[in-house]
Amino acid sequence: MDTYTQKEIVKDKNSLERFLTAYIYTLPTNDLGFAAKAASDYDFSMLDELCTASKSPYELRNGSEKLCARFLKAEKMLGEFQRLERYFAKISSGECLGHHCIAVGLFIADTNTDIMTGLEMYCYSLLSSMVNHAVKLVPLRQLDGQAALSDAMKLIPNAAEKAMSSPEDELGISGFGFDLRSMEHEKLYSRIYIS
Amino acid sequence: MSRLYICAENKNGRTVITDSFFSSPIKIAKPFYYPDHTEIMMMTASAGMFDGDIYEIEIIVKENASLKFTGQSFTKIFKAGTKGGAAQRVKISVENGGKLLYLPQPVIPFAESIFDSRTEIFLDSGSQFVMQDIFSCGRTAMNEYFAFKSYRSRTAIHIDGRLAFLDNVKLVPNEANLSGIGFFEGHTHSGMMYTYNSDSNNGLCCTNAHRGRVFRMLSDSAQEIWDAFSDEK
Repeated sequence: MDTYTQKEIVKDKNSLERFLTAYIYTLPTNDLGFAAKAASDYDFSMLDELCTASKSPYELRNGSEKLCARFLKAEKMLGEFQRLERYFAKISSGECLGHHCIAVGLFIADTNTDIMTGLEMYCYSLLSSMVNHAVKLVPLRQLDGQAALSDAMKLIPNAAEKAMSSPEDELGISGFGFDLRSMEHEKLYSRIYIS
Repeated sequence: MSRLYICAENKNGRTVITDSFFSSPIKIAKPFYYPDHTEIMMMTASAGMFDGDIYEIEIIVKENASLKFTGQSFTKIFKAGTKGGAAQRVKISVENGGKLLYLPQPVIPFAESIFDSRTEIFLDSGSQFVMQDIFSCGRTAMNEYFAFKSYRSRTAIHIDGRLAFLDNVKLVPNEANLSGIGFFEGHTHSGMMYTYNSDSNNGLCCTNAHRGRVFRMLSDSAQEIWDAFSDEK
């Protein structure tokens, strides 16, 4: 989002809406897809390896790893979660890198949350943080941000369903522009967010 | 289904093709021998890939052999019919000390075409590898943009048996605005280059993948991408 606003590709409510539509289109085969598969008890080591390989931009991978470490730390204080602990053990041993999306999926399973509800909430949090960044970076009126978010929210149930139903070999399918801009971010003049 | 199989080995300091097999319409030109590597050029006695065509390509580079694999012309994907389009399966392995430059020509999916390509690459950690993948959204010179039905390309690169890089592409013009934000962003061509153990490190958009380096570029011409990538190799 940093790159998009600095290059003025996202510069107003209209372009933010177009950004969000494209972003949510790629989520079911990315973060949301990995969360869905982790919540459905796919082998998390396999998912971790796929996720590490598909997040080729260094900062995306590194950001996901850091968020995961913080997420696990926070959950540790809240109680005991079997799957998360097994994931944590594999991260500690170096066998897994640790990705936030996979930890979220495991958390959904550990807390016996209805998968669709859990995925929809996760999807909302991803969208809302994108909107939050855009509002601060462009900058936009809070109201425009809210309106764009509320429009994008209509696409959440469909994205969650696609995340559940998309085949495993589609995990990691993203948009070329998104990948390229994430790579450009490494060399951006001013960098406000980590990825 | 057409097949191509190539095995390159180092014999007394030179890279020799010790085993090869191909079936129509795929052919290979007589290998070009250079002091430090050998080049194989794939040719097809066909205008492009037609509905139902399946290419199966396997390349093996043995210890200390050095091979450059190129193509003769752009891969054109023709309109799909009842057979569900064209497909390609590529399997590559490079052993320790071996080097492979895998440089197929750009792909152009024509209007109404369907293409599904799967590439599995297995590298030993002591090998060197460069690949590029250039894509055109159609016959842009005649104003054909994103008119294909679907384009799928999945490339998985494994190093010592573990997945190191995954490039997963699915383009369905009906489902999203592919020339817009997040996708081609006003451009018509895209290029991805992956290098492992290569010592190049300037220009272009580049990032360090889990293992190896990835280059990406958006442009309006395949030649421009080809040239930029060539500077990096």
